[in-house]
Amino acid sequence: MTSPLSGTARRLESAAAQLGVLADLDPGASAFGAAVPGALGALGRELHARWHGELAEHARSAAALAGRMTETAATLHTAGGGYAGAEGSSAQRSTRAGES
Amino acid sequence: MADALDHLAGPAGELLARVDDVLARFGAAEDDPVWMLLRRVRALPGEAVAALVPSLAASPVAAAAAAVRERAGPYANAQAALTTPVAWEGPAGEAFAAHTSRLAGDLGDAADALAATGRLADEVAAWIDHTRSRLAAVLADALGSAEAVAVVLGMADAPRSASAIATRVLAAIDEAVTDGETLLHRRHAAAARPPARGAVPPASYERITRLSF
Repeated sequence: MTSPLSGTARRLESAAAQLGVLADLDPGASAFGAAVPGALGALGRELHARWHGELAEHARSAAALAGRMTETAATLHTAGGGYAGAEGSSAQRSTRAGES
Repeated sequence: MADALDHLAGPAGELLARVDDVLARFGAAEDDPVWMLLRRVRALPGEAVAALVPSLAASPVAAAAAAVRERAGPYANAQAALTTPVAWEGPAGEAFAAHTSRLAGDLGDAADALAATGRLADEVAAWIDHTRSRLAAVLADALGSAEAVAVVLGMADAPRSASAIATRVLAAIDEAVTDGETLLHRRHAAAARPPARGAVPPASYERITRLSF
């Protein structure tokens, strides 16, 4: 039997797997003007550092959120499994009661 | 795709190389505005433009901004999965609902932060575009000027003409630096104001009371 809890758990696992792929989004410091001599180059390096730092922070945040979502999915699996186990035991008891 | 600055780079590069050379050899009057701009920009106009033209590029930064926005999709999917009610009642179900609500809120904050980073890249791309356009306009004017003729032909007033061209080019670069610094400071200030979210107790699901299917 497929429980709604398991279905939600699978959606969470799928969504968690999609979070945080950001490493390929950096066009490189040069596009920001980092290679230009003087003040413009210094600014370009600062702008790129800001951009790169924000991407890195998003990647860390996404990894943490994905971990929490996976834990949440595991909780749902556990809860759904517990219910299925309880339902199975109940059915077995009912069957035994009917046999006796 | 090549822009106006790319098209002007060849002839302007030759002119500015001569400007750099004349400035280095003859200098400028003590009260010439080029000195203040040289101190601010910390580069000669020819060397700055030669390095800027092939590297400072809006399109890869704009593409990165678009890619960042695309990454917001999974956050919305995750929020939708978390906010879908599950058939779990009782204290444990309520604790679980509170937990998923907090997680959905944190995902929303993370998506907002991602969108802000996308806007940063948009603003940087617009700044790059504006910088290149502004410089192209200055170089187009310089190429057609009497000062350019004086510098290229090595006329008597070549030093004064070189400092006049250098002043215009360096002023454009200086304005670009000021605009870029404003953009960066605005972003620093915005990022220093994270959304307030109170501390939350850890979730507990030990008491599973009833699951409905």
